Formats: sequence, structure tokens, C-alpha cells
Amino acid sequence: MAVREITYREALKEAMREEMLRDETVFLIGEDIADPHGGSYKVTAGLSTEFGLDRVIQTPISEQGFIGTAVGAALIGRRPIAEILYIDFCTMAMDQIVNQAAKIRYMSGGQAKVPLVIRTQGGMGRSSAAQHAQSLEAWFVHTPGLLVAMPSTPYDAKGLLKTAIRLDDPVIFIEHKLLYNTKGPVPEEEYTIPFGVADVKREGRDCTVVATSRTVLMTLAAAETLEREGISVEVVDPRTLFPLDVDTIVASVKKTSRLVVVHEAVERCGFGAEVVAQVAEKAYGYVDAPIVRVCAPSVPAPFARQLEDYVMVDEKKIADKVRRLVRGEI
Amino acid sequence: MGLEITMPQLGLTMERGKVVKWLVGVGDTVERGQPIFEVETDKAIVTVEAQQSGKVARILVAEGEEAPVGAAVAVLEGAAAPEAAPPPEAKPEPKPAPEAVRLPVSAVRVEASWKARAEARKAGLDIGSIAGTGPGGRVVAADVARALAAKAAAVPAVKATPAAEKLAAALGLEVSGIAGTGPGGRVMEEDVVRAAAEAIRGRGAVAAAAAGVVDRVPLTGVRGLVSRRMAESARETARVTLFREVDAGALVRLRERLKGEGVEATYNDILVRLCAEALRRHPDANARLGDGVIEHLGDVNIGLAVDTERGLLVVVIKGADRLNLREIARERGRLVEGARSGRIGPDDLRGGTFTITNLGMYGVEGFTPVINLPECCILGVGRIVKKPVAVDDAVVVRPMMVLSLTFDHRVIDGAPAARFLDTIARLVEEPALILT
Repeated sequence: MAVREITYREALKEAMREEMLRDETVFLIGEDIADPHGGSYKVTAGLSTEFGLDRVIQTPISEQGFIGTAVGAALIGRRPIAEILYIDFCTMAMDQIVNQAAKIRYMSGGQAKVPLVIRTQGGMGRSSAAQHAQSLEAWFVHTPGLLVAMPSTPYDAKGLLKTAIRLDDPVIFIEHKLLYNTKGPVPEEEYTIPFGVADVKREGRDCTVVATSRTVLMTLAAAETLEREGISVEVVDPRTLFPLDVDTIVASVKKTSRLVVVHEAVERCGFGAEVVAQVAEKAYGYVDAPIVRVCAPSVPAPFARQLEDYVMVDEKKIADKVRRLVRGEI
Repeated sequence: MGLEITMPQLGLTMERGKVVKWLVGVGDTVERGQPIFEVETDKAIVTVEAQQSGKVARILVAEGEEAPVGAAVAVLEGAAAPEAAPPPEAKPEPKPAPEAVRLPVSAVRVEASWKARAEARKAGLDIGSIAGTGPGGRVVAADVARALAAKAAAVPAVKATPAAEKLAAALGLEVSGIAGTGPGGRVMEEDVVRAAAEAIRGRGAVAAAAAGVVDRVPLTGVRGLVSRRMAESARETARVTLFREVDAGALVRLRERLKGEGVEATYNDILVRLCAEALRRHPDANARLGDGVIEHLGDVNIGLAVDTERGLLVVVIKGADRLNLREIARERGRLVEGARSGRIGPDDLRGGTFTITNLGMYGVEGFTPVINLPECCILGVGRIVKKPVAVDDAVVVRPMMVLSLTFDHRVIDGAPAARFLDTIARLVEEPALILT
């Protein structure tokens, strides 16, 4: 299988392009996504030139309106990919996402479906301040009827986005603003990644770390440092938060007896709480140390770079926590 | 069906326990979790809870009597049996129907990891009998594994013929203490006879040598524990004691001032705080000897020697470097009261990283205290007495006090220990440096 190194951005674009070529019902809708702008993070650059403005539809700043449009189009058989520029702006379209897209399949007794993908991005690290740096995935994981993907690598991004487009349920597809330029191996050949299958990004003996999105990369770097200190870390990337691959996480904790959950979102009622609860229930007799989280403190993201660094999860914070846990200091 | 309630094992070294008080009587109905009796161990009085509901049919060990660990102390009857359910993960198996079911009684609430609990349960070990090495003394899975290994090593199966067992029981001898001469080391009847004869000869010899003895105090309970631990420390440690006389004027004034503010702090409370600060500045003194390593400890937990009716107990003020004087005084009050009434839990008697022992109230000037293993330093505090001393070039009268620091030379050298004592001395002479 031929493999090349491409960026996360290119991987996403390839997924959309391939699916648009494969299926005429797939179209894009969102703000500033057509050329020459090609999207604020340039993920859709070139697609309007190739497929025309009928399949790459530009909208005004109107999240409630264009998500509603996409829900309607999905209901009549199209497969829209809507882009919400920052996950923070989902708040404008929450009624369409939570009360419409997530509910219709259930409330119609399965007679209607909403094969919609909402691509968006979150996360800190660019000093974007409190309204442009949130990680709101837990809201969507908490909403029955929505599927939630959070890829950390170009390979996962492409394979999961292709699956998201083909699924008949609405998918919230959450990218990270600091991952677009990261590179990784992606096969030339077509592939997809099923939802609900976690990926063990690194095997280890002493501690399981479940991490999402960009924190997977931080955790892998931390694991490298800890390995030199004799601490062996297993890194599990759930890839999709719902459906969640609890079995893989539980199997890992049974092996290592310790669990740290990492995400960029604030700690209180974050996605990590769900992982912790699942493990507390399903691996009770195997857990030999407190289950701890490394997350942002429960405050709005600061604008000042130093303060953002202070609240943001990073490699050092993860390494410190794992080290103290494994040494029995917690 | 009768269900035996047994004497729980409340510590690794516990072999017997004394029933201090029954909280229920024959004929009473008890609920699972209800306190049913109090047992005195080496270290403390612990309340034992019923693990099953039922009706007390018989009490086998009266108040004030002792029973070995695992022996039945009472019998429950009635509705108890159905509650003896297997742990949820276990498949319900056809149970043998014994006339008496021996229930493990886990009496103390112990901090333990989930895994440690599950593994102890699986192995049939009482989690309360396992010494924890996790943070704050938490029992972790490795401790359970160690306890299991120790149990396996400590209890070699003693083989004895039924006749030998019967005779030994009748003579009050333990077959495990008798050398067997039978096949494979099996204890035979004649081995028991020989052992009994030796025991009788031994007793006679002791009796002959002990002319003039008017009383014999068995080395049990707190006395036995102190005796073993002191001997171990004297045997193991390379101890050196440093003396330093300090001006206690500031200490006396501080205590008076606190009293004025309504804080009933003792000299010991203030010394606990000052030593905690000194230990923070000298982490090499806040250490213990591990297996081939010196372990520096993150917590500063200060033990305080307390004289009780039952003997010496060292209560431990945890995290003393993070407490203010008011908090230390309150905690010390709780601990000393618990130690004197015998109602103190094992958690309050372990985990120390340094000990203070004060004999000043008995007029003692200085002394060489015995290190409380596994700690590496102990501070002896003498009386505060007014003496003429030279200040600048004048002789003045000052309240003086001698501090005696015994340290374990295996862990810390003389010069760093002297620097540590110097820090304590300076803080005693100027407590305002940290306490204002």
C-alpha cells in the first residue's frame, strides 16, 4: 500500500473530494468556504473551483439559517457537509442541531433520517480568547441522536470523515485549529475508519492515558519522556466520543491498573467524566490508583498568551500527572 | 443455621484480641453494619461491625477475655444466611451446607484501592490486616500481593498426627512450635510428650532463677509492641545524639500570647510546627531507610509521644507543615484524647516521618531518645528552667531548654543533622520568623 505524508488539512480535503466524486448528493455549505478564500483554515480550498458553486454553497454569517438548510436538504436525500467556523458558533445553531437534526430520526419513528455532517474546529493555543477557543464536545456527546468524532491524526481525519459522510445519522466532526498543519502518513488507496473503534496509539504497561484530539499528540510526547524514566504509558485515542469504544479502554485499564483522562475542554462535566464513570463501573476490580484527569480548569479561556498557557493542557502537565500517579504520590 | 462471628485480624502483627465490650446481648437482633463489639489490639480499641444480619444466639468470649484471631466470639442465627451472597462477579455455585459458616469480619474502615480490595477479597484476606504503602498509607495491589506472599511464607503447613494434635491441644501446646521427628517432619505423639517435658523443665529453671519476683507483666498489648519496636530500633540503628541548649524565652512568650488570643497551644504544639518547618528546610532529615535506598518523603507527618495508661503511644499529626498552630492544637487535642481513651484508629498511629518526645514536665534536662523506626530522627525535649547565662558580656537569667536530637547515622551524617538541629534551635529562639 502506497503511503505518503500529508497534512491534516489535506487529508480532510481529500476525504470530501473523494466523497463528492463518489456521490453526487454530497455538497458543502458554510461561510467563506469557496475560492479564492477556500475557508478560513483553507480546508475547502480548490473544491468550489473543481465542483462549482452549486456544490460548494457560500452563506452569509447565519449559522441557524444554513444548518437549518442543511438539515432540510439531508431530509430530502442529500448529504450536506456544513462547516461551522468555530465550535463556539454552534451556539447560534443549537436549536437546529439539538432539537431538529438529533431528534428527527427518533421522532419520526425511523421514517426520516438526517445524514448531515457538521465540520467544525475547537481548542486553545492561538490566543483566540474565550469565544474562539472552547472545546464543547461534551454538549454533543450528551445529546442522544448525534454522533461525535474528534480525530487527532491525518489518517484518522480522512478515514473518519469519509465514514461520517456515508452514515445516515448527524455527525458533529470536531477538528482542532492547531492540527491542520500537522503531518502524518495517509495511504494513497481508499480506506474508511468505522465509528466506535478506539486506536491504541502507543502500547504500555504502567498507566493508560485516554486522550482526545490534539492532546493525543501531547500525550505521545509525554509518553516518550516518561519511557526514558522507566514509566511505560499506553495511549488510547477513542477517535469517536460517541459511539465510544469502552471495551478497548477497559481492556487497557485492566492491563495497566491506572487511568488518566486528558482533554482540552474544561474539567467539570467534561467528556473525561464519562470515561471515568465507565471505567469505575466496568474495571472496578482492576483500578489500583485514583483515576485522575488532566483538563483545563473550569474557567473561560484567557486571551493573554501566558494565561492561556497556564490553563491549557500541555505535554508537561500530562507527564507530571502520570509520573506522580505511577510513583504512588497521588 | 448458626453463623460464627470471629475475632478479626486488625493488623499484621495481631495474633489475639481482647473483647473490651459487647454492644449487643444474647437475643438481640443485629443489622448488617451495626457495631457489635469492641476489641482491643496492640494499638487501639476498634469497633467491629456485623457483616450479616441475624439474632445473637450465643456469646462465646466474655468482656475482658481474649481470643485468637479467627476464633469464634459469638454465634448469630436466623435470617443471616441468605445475605451471605457471593460477590457479584462470582457465578452462583451450589454451596456446601456447613453447620457453621465462618464469616470474615472486616472491622476497620481502611483506605484501599479498588483493585487491592478486589484482590484481597478474592484471596480471602482482610484488607484491614494489610499494611498500606500507597499515599497516606493506602493499601494498593502490591501490598496485597506482599501480604499474600508473607502469609504463604509464614504459615508452613504443619503436619501432625491426629493423636499428636489431640494431645497438644489437651496440653495447651501449639503443634507448629514442636519439632517433628515423623516421616516428612510430621509431629508425632512422642514429640508432643518430649516438648511438654521440656516446657515443664524450662518453667522450673525460670522459676528457680526468678526468686524475689513479685509480679509478672506479660509482654502483650502496647507493652509488647513498644518492647519489640524499641529493641528493633536499638538493634538496627546507628544512633548518635546531639544536644543543644536554647533560650526558650520567645517560646514562653509566644505561648502566653496565644493563650491571650484564646488558643490553648502547648509547647509541644509550637515545637511540632517549628520542627515541621525545619524538616521542610532539611528534606534529608525527613527520610527513612528503604530496601537499599534512602527514601525522602514528601509529607511532613510529626509523631508525638504520648504517655497513656496502657503505655507509650505515638500519635501522628499529618501534614504538620501545612497546618497553623490553631489547627495543630485542635488535632493534637483529638489525637491525645483518642490515645488516652484507647479509642484511636490505626491511621492516627502510623505514617510519621519524625517524632517529638517531651520529658520536660518531669524535670528531665536532656536524654537520648530511641529512634521511632522507620523514621531517622527523633527530638527529645527537656524542661524549661531559668539559668544564668552570658548574653553579650553580662550574666542574665534566661529560661533555657535542652534539645536532644537522636539521628540514624545510616541515613544522615553528623554535619547535616547538626545543621538540622541548628535550624530547629534558631526557630525555637525566634519562632516569629515563621509564625507571625
